[in-house]
Amino acid sequence: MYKFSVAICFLFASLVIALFTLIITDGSFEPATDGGATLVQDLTAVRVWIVVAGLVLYSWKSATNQPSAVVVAVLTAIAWIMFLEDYMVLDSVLFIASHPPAQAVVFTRPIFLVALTYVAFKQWEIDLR
Amino acid sequence: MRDRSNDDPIRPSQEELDALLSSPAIFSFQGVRASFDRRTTLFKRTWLVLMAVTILYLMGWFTGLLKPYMASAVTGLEADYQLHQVRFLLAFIMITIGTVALNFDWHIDETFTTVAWIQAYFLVSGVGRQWRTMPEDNLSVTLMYAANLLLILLLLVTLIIEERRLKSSLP
Repeated sequence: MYKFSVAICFLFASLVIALFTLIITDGSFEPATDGGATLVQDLTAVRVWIVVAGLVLYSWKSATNQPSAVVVAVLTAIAWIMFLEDYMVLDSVLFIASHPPAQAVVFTRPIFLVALTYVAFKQWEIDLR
Repeated sequence: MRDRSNDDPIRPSQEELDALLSSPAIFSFQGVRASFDRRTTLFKRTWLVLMAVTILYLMGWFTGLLKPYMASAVTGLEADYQLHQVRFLLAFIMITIGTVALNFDWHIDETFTTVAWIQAYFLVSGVGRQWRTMPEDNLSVTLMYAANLLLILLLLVTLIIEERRLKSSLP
């Protein structure tokens, strides 16, 4: 179950990176409002760097058998905060879910959040052993 | 008369009961004062400054003094205003979680490390957002905003360093 959850997290991270690559290369991604155009680019850019940094850090710590519970806990908290921000505020500004990769990100996001939260709790258990 | 308390295999002996009752609880309420008594003066002062900043923010918000300095006042976007409100609510929840961690003296280092990284996210995304959307003559607003968030981040980092120093000095 732990490995399956980690796989879901990696899959979601890949989707976010793919979506970001498409946003900066493909002109067909248009946000719901004009004012949201820069907001989409800014937020996606910040988030994709967090995803890349998180993936690198987690992979490095796992490969070197270092405790990674705090890293996963930080990433989980930030992921939930981003979700809350999007859900409560940015939904009407940002969403570009008509595109298939964007739909895939929106669809898998709740599954990713549950999987990441599970990994965070499990990682504490593993590190405390 | 013979004492049968230790003959029953199910009933714990007096030594076992004493050991159970004397072992420290993993998660027990101690109060902030008791928690502070074990910590350095710098830790206490940093926490007090953090509380003071929170209170000053609340006073500034409810009196309307802060509104002209907010991103939404310049950009006019409703999303900026709402984002600010959501972020303050989240920050307030994090302060509450930090206070609970202090009260129970439970994973303080990890709690404040998580809070500091979230604050770093707020700093990078907030300042980046303001930098891109603010007009040129509003640079001072962006700098004040960045300085405010940076001050909170520095206070959190100080708390983490002090807590790690305390942990490393314990036998």
